[in-house]
Amino acid sequence: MANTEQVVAEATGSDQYLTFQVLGERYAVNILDIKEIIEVTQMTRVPMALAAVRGVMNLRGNVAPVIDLAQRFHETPTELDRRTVILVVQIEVEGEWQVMGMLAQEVNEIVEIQADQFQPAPEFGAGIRQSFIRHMAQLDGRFIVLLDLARVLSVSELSVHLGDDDRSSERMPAE
Amino acid sequence: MDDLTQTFIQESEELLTQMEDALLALEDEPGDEEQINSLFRAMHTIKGAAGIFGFDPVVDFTHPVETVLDQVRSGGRALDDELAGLLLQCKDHTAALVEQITGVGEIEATLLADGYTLLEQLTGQVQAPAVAADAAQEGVVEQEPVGPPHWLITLKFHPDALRNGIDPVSFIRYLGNLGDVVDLILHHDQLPGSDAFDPESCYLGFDIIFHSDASKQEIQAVFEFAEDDCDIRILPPAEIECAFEQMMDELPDDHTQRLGEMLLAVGAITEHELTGSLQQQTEQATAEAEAPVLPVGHILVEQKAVSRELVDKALDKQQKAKQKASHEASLIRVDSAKLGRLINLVGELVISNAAVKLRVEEQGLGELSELVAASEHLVEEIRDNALQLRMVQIGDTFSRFRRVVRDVSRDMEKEIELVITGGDTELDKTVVEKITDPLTHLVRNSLDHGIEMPQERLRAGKPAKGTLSLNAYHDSGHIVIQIRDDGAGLDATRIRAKAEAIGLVKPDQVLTDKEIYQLIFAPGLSTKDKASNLSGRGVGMDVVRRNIDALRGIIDIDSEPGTGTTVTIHLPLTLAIIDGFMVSARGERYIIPLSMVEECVEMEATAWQVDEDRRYVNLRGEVMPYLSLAEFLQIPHCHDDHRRESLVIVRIGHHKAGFVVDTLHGELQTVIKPLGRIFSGFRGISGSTVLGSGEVALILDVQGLIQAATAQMQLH
Repeated sequence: MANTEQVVAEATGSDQYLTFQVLGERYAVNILDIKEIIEVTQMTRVPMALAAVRGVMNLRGNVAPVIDLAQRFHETPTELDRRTVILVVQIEVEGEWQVMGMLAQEVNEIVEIQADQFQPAPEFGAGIRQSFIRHMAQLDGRFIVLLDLARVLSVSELSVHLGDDDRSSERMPAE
Repeated sequence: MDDLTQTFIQESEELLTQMEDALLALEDEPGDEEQINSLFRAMHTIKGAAGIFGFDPVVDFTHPVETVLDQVRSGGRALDDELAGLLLQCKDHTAALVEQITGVGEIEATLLADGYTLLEQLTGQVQAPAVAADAAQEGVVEQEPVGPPHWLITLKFHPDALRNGIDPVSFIRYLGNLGDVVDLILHHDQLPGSDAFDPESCYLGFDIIFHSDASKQEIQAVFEFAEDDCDIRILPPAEIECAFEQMMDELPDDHTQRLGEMLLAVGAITEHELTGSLQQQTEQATAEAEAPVLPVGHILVEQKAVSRELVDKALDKQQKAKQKASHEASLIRVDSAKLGRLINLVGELVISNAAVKLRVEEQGLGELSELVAASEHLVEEIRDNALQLRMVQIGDTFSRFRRVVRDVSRDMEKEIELVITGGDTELDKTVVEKITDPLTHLVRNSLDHGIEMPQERLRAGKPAKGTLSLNAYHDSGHIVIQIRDDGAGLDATRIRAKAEAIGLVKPDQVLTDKEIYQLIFAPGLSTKDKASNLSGRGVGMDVVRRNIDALRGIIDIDSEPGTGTTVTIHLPLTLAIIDGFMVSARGERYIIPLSMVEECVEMEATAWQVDEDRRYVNLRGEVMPYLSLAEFLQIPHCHDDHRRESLVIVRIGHHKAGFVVDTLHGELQTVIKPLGRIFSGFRGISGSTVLGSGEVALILDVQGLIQAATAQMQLH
C-alpha cells in the first residue's frame, strides 16, 4: 500500500515545491498547486476590498483576483519591480474551482521536499500566522514554510469588505 | 414524458443526493446547522415541486418528514442515530415514490403502506392512511345522485324493415336493459292512406327519451342488427355534451387529428356514424363532381349525430393543433450548453473587436477605421442575435401556476382566479430558470396568506372570488414581473411584532409601513402561526430575496390593508452581455448598464441647485439624491483630480439617483465576467468586464448605489 502511494507521489511529482520570496522570507507551495507564473500585469483596484486584495486582473479573458502576500502576511504592500511575479493558483471553494493570483516578490527555484522532512509548525516565531503554515521543512540548513493555500486564500476572510459597518444604515430598505 | 416532469425527476434526485450527503456529514459532525438546513430544504423543495405537479402521494409523505426536520432545525428534536437512520429510509422512500409516480403514474399499495410505517416510526403517531380516506370521500362526492342523463334516440325504420325480419318493438324493449325509457313519441306521418297501405312495410318512427348511464357506443350497439334497415340518431344529453366538450379540451394537441377521429375519441359519435358520413361524402363527391364536397362535420351535424357546437369546438381545436404543429416544426431543439458556448465566443469576439478598434485609433490608421466600424456593427448584430436565441417567453412559466392556483383553491376552499398578462414578454432562459422557484414561493404566499376565505371576503365587501394576477412587461432594459392579489394585505403590526420577537428590530425603532413590509424578506419571519401545506415556514421569503439578488434584480413589496398586496420584481434581461456606459472618477473607470442611464447633465450648471449638505440636486424641480462615485468608492486622489464634473442620472423602476463622475467615456458593449467568490457580497460592484485594452473594468451595482444615495440624503 505504502509502496503504491510512493509510486503515485513520484509519478505526479508531488514532492516538488516552488520556492519564492515575500518581504525577504522564503516560502514554498507544492508545484501541483501552481497553474502558472506570470509577470505583473495591469491590476484593477476593487473599491472597498481589503488591502490584501490587490485588485483583479485579466487572465486571458477571465477576471481573477490578485492577493498581495506581503500585505496578507505582514500588512505591508508589495512594491512592484521587474522581479515581482503573480503565481496563479486554483483552489476549490465550496465545490467551485476559483482561479486566483498571488503577488510575490520573486520566485526562486523548484526543490524536492520529502514527506519525512516535514516538521510541525512552531507555536510562534515563524513570522506569519500559524494557521497559514501547513508544514515546516529544513532546506539548506534553513527553515522554510510550506504554505496552506486554503487558509492563505480563504475566501471567507478575504471577502470581508471595508465600510460594511459604517454603511450598515444604508443597507436598510430605501425609501 | 414531458420536460417539466423530467426536470422534477432530476431536481428530486439532486436534492435527495444532497439530503443523503447531509445525513452522512451529520454523522461526522453532529449539529452542523448548514447540513440540517440542507436536509430541510430538500424535503421542502420536493414537497413544493410535487405539489405543482399534483403528485399528492409525494406531498403526503414529504410533509410530515419536513415537519420533523423543522423540529430538528429549531432544536425541538435531537438528530440521533435512530432518527438519522429513519431519515435515510425516508430519503429512499421518497426516491421510490418519485420514480413510481413519474413512471407509472400511481403508487403501489405496498409502497404506500411502507410509507405509513416509516412515518409512524418517525413521528411516533399512527398515520391514518389519509390518502385512502380522502379518496374514499372524493368517490362519494363524485357519485352524488344526480340521476342518469337523458338521451334522445330517434329511430326511423325503412319500409323494408319488417320484411327483413326486424321487429322495432324488440329493440325498444331491449333498451330497457340499459336504462329506462322515459317517454316515447310515435311518428306515424309516413303512414299512407288505407288503399296504399302495405301491411308488410314499416312506416313508423320513434323519438325515445332514454335514461341511462350507458355510453353512446353501448346504446348504438343495441341497434346493431337494425343498422341497415333503420336511420338511427342518438343525441347525447346536455350534461354529456358538456362532458364531450371538456374531453375535447383535454385531448392532447401535440399532433393534428382528423375531425372524425377527435369526435370519436371523446365518444360523441360512433364508429358506425363516422364511416356512414364518410361514405356519404365519397358518394356525394362521385355523384356530383362539380359540387363542393361537404365537410364531414357538416354531414354529421345534418345527420344529427352531433351538435353543431361540438363540431365547432373540435374544428377550433384542430386549428390550434395545426398551428402548434406548424410552429413546432419550425423549431430546432438545441442544447443550452451549446448556446452558452456560442454566447461566450461572441463575448470574446466583442472584446477582441474592441481591442482592434483601440489599436486602429492609436495608430491613426484612418483607412482601416471604416472597416473596423463595419465589423463592429456586424459583431453587435451577432451579439444581439446570439442573445435573442436564449430569450424565451415568460408565459410558460406563468402557466405552470394555473395548476397550483386550481389545487390550492380546492384544498383551501378558497375561490381564486388567476389572471395572466404579458405572457409574451421575453427574457433570458437562464433567468427564467432561476426565477421559477422564487415565483412559486410568492404565488403560494399570495394564495395562502393573501387571499382570504370567501365568507371573509364577502364580509369585507369584496367579491367572494379572489384574483391573483401575474403580469410581466419590459421597462428600461429590465423585465418587470408583478404578482398582485386582492387579498387582505400585509398586517404591518403583526410583522413588526414578529420581527421584534425574533430581535430583528428594536421596539423603539421608527419604521414606515413600507419598511416594515420589507422585513418579510428577513430570514425566519413568518407571521402565519401554523405551518400549512403550502408555505408559512419562514424559509420562503428570505430565499426569494437571495435568489433575486443573485440575479442582480430587485424586489419590492407594496400592500394596502384590505385591498391587496403587490410584489414587483425587476430583473435584468440577460446575464451575459449588456450595453454599457463608461465613466471615470479620479482616473478609475467604471461601467454603468446603459439601460439604466436616464441622462447626463453637467454638475456645475447653475440651473441645477446643488445642496452639498443634504446631498441632493434640484433637477427641473425633482429632488434627486446623488453621491460622488469617487468618495463612495474611496478612490485615492490623483493629479488630474479636478475636472468638470458630470452627473449621471440612473433609474431602476421608480428609484432614481445621480452619480457624480469626472469623465463620460460613452457607450461600449460589455461582456459581463463574474468577479469570483471573494467579491460576491460586495455592494456597489456587480461584476466586471475586460476592456479592449485588456484592462479589467468594474460594473457598478446601480441598485446598491441608488439605495446608498437615497439613504445618504435622508441621513443629512
